[in-house]
Amino acid sequence: MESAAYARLYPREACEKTLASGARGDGRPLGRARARTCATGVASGALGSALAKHGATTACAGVTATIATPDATRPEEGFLEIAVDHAPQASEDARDGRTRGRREAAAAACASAVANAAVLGKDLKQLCVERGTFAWRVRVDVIVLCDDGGAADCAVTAVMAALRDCVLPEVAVTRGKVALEGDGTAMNGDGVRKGTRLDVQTMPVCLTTALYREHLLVDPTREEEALSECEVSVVLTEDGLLRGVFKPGGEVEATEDTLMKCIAAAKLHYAASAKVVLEATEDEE
Amino acid sequence: MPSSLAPREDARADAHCRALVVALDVVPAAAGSAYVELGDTKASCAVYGPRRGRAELAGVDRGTLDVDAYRAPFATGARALDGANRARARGRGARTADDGLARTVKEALSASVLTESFPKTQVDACVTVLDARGGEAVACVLAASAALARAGVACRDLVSACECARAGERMMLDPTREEIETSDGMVFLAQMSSMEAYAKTETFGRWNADETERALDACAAGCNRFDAVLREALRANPRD
Repeated sequence: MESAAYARLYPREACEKTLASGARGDGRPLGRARARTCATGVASGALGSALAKHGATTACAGVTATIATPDATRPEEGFLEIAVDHAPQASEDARDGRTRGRREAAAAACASAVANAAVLGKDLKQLCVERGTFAWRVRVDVIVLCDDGGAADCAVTAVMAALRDCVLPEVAVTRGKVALEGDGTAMNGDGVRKGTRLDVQTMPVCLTTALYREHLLVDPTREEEALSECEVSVVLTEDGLLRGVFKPGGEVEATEDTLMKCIAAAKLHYAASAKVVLEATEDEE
Repeated sequence: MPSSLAPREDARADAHCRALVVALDVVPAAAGSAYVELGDTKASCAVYGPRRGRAELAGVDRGTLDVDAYRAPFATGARALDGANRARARGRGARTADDGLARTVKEALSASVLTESFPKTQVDACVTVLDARGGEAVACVLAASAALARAGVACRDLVSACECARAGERMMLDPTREEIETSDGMVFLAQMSSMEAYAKTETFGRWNADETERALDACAAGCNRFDAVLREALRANPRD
């Protein structure tokens, strides 16, 4: 029987056969993540945007901003909102009302990661326009265009690249009224966008590991995710601190040993992943 | 076409379309998929199926084609808004499902897809708009056609589409969003080029018969050009 047909009809047996030889369906060793790529400036309708690809998993993030009234208890802070959504084209079962659990878990993981990592600073003071009256509400929308496993990881990469790419337009406050100078597309003489860049202070990177029987598969593909009993997503920043460990349900518990291995895998892959985002955004500076 | 006095924003002639770029197989898990860039407008489509559809629509002798359109929240270009515009803004909870676009794409494709070839099942074409700079319906129809061809769904012909906007005496082919906003009429055409048959036409604004014919001819020329690009892309990347 053809291998593709066999994998479709008997996924467990096919997976076990490949794992027995020490490699996975796509030839990777168990502990290796897929290559990550990232490009910025993909959506002209956003202040900052990025397209991230982890293997075949693709996510596109776009940053928009509005002027809002700051919270009365935090008059010097703005707002940062992150929303992750799966486009209907992302996977076969991306129909409304079916298997939303995993997608919402990926969304929650991504949003928490960026919030916990305090990417724009512990407080959001850099988003303040005028104390008590005007502040920026920055919204990052992430769309997962293709879900081939590890959507949360891809979403985090896209969010970080989009935030680093974002340029907020200049704001002038006159007599209690706020006016934006331009809408974010104005360019200086040397082709650089006018406005202020966001001061992105940390670089969180997320890595998901799936548990299948006693094997730990780093950065699972969709077929591996479908077979796995539980998944653990780990978010780290450059100082080696953990910003989040997520295990959305699953059929099996993750022992301390398993968690330690997942965290170690995330540490191992941190440098390469962060480099991808930094390189994609460095030529803007 | 009357010659224009002021050049268009991107220095195109009135009868020129934007460059069309097609990439295939962007979603490997789908039966067929395509990503299309028409100037700055970006759309992608993934086709799943034939697979089990909604029971009440199952026909005995024919299948159904379902189109789902998803518009990215940042696609429309309301990048940054001040207080005055906030009320009009599409904020949290903005509807990303674009039913009007889905209906347009579905109507354009229905003339071509041979639903008798997949009875009792459903083919889902899921379309996503990432950047809406004019011609989203055109880009979506092109992406869906390429994805359907890739998926091997039986069709009479490739469907291509084109739009034409009128500003006073001037007719501009493949208008950008800014040109559409300042126009006083628009024509959308989807055609099956090899058969020289119109699949769907839609006019917006007041048109007399003469102008309509000129606009449709211009759109048909645009459609033929896009059709050639799609065919070349499909031919250059054979499915193994």
